[in-house]
Amino acid sequence: MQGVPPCQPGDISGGSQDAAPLFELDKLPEDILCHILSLLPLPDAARAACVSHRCLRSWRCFPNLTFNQKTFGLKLNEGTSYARAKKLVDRIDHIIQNHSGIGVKTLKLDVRCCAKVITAGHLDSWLQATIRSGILDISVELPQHLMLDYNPPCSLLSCAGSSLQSISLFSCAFHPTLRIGCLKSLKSVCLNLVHTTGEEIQCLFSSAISLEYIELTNCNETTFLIIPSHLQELSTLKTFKMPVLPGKFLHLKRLKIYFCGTGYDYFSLVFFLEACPALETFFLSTGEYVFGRQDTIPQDFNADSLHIRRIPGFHHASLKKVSINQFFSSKSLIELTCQIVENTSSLRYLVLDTTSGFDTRGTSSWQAQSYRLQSSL
Amino acid sequence: MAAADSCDGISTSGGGWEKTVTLVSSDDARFEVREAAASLSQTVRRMIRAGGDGGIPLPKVDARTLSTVLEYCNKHAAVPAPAPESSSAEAAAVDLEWFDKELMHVDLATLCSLIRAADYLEVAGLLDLTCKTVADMIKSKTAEEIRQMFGIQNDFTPEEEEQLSRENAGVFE
Repeated sequence: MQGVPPCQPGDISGGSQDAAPLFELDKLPEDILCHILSLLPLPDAARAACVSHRCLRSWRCFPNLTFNQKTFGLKLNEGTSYARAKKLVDRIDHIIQNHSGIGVKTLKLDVRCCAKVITAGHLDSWLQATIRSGILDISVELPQHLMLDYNPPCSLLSCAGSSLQSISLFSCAFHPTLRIGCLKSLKSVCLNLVHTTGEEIQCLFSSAISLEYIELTNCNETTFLIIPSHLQELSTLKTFKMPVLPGKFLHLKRLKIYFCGTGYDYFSLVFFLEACPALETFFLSTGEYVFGRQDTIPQDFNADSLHIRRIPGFHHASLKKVSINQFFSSKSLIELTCQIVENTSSLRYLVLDTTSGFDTRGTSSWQAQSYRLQSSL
Repeated sequence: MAAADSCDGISTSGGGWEKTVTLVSSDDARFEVREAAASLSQTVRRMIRAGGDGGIPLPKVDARTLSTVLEYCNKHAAVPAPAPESSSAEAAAVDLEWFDKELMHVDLATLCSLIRAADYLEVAGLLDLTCKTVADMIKSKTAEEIRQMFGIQNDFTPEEEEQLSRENAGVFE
């Protein structure tokens, strides 16, 4: 390598010989300045905005709008709960009013603590100001049970359209129609305590070809859930006491189902397995232990007297690994397990985990608890 | 290092020959680099494809900055892709992280040059690394501290500044 000659004007220079230690943060190209600010937590970026006009312009396009009590350092033991809620709402309002609305990638709004202060008017204006094409993640958490009528305008989802990757709602209404448009990037849907019907969810799913993750909890108006067969990427489904009517998933290889609650007829999952002929890995978490384990069969039971249900003609030739977490002695769970063990020629591993652990991917627990099935099965 | 045409070869430690290219800095220093490493720069990759003799000219980057950029490229292009979750992959990741951290122990002027060079050369990983380094320096600092650290002029009028402090400082006490 040759020696290093002195720097010339116009160079991107190391400039060590000059006394001025200028970094010139302020003179970097606009997109780089925006990028640097975007790597900061929101409060730090807000402070940096006061440095100069150019920094301020970058702040007006700050992409990660995450709002909760922690963002603003609000202390739980400071003032009345009303005063804290008012502070939080005012601050969010202030920042969003001054945001350009351009460049928002993430909107995470956690105002669960803002009962009595937050209004539908606030929410409408905040969502309208920030949700545009290009947004990736939307999360809205409202005060529990208090705003179940609030319906985030679905026209906004149409705006977010093709870029939107995840939507998560807590304690509100949600009434998508077929006009919601194409949600081709949507990977994750998480609805908890949301007023929405099976038909409306069908509308949401109608174009969501990339959907990988569905979680529906405490959605009491959803009396059924149809999983259409174009959801070929779907790998995780978490539900709470809800009849799930599967389409045919010809390519689905991995499926995780989490239950939350008690008294589910696990045997009905056999129909789900039938609908997924290519399924290789099936993970089931019963969720029973959350409510205290309820073993329904006496220890000295006689299998013959139980009238174990069987579905004649069921056979699976792809399923290799089956793992059932929080396994307990419920009749329907035993029926499901028997059906799988007796009619799955491809099965190599079966894990029945009777602990309350949630480790779904830890290889050590898999190895420790699994056993190789005898070839006679 | 001897001058070379834009497409040469050097002997690798394994005994095989690996394709190299020559990059020429704004101050005419020549760097012979493995093509795989140089290609981490999208700008260089396009110029390799366009072809040409006598080395690839990079008139916006001086030798000192370019040598650091290439140090980054050589290290990051050298990493093989072992099976994920294996211990060697983990060790390689830790090693890279350590290397990146060391590389960022530079003065502010150098850091600024590296950001501009990474942007011009389109080395995405280095741009992220340098920007993250600056972001970490800004974190938890007041506007005045940031101005002093980076030598930035306050271009707000007192009225604007007052409005801003109401807008932002009031929000984050």
